[in-house]
Amino acid sequence: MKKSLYIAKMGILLALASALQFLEGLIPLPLPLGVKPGLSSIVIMYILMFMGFKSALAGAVLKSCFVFATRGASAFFMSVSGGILSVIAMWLCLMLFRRRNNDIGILAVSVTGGVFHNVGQLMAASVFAGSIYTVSYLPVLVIAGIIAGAFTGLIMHILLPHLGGEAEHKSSAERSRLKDEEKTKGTKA
Amino acid sequence: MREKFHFIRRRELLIILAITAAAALGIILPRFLGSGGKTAVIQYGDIVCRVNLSESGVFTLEDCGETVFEIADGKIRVREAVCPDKICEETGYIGYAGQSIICVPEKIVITVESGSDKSDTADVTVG
Repeated sequence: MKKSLYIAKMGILLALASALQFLEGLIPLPLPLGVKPGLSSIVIMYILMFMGFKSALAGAVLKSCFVFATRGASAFFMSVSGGILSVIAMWLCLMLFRRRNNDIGILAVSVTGGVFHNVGQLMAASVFAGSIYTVSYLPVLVIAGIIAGAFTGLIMHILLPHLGGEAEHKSSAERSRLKDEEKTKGTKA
Repeated sequence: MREKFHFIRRRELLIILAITAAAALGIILPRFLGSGGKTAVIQYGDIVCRVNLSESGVFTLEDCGETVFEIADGKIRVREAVCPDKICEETGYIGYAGQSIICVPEKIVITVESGSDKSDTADVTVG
């Protein structure tokens, strides 16, 4: 992808993620522990699937910077640790699928992301509070992560066929493979 | 092979359900096995104090700022929190051993202890 195109695309996606994050904060939900569905993680998942690991990591960190601007330092550290851990976990899950048969289970990836996002936030909370007793929140947060991940996964599944054409949908890994194929064809001819 | 996408397969669903079941057990089991705790530990930074859960009342702690705690029926809750999130308030009452309330902005951790012999070591008497 051209550098200018890449920058423009990342800009639009990050604006979308920040807007979703903000919107989510406006709607009060009757859920304990400040649990939210995590709509902006749909954008991060899209970046991870089609623009690669590094872009997704950058996206998660930049999204947290928006949180820092709107909700302060402690919210930033919770957000950044959750974001980074969830991107790493989703990446590992995605790689597992790519290794096996390249048939990617969207729900499995998003649920992994949701659960590890909460685990990351809990880790940050333990560091902040200076206590290990935060572990007692773990079962509730795991279930909340699964539900939130299922929700974002469902949206991702519905959106996927509408996100651009076939070319858009080729992952970075596949695109490089296609390039290699073209190269080998070129040398043969 | 071309990259494909599917929503969910049977095996993935089973793994997710197994994790959900394990987490649900983690929530339910302490309520059946753990009896009600006798004391609660309130940790505020380096300061740790114990309160007796059998003495009902509303109180503040000198070192914990404006946060108001309440004990009723052997359970403790944060009645009024100073932070904007109010997550600790929403957590409500806790009374089972091992349960805790955490306030990240205020750095307050409340944990219920099971130890029955510790009831006489309460540092703070609720008035």
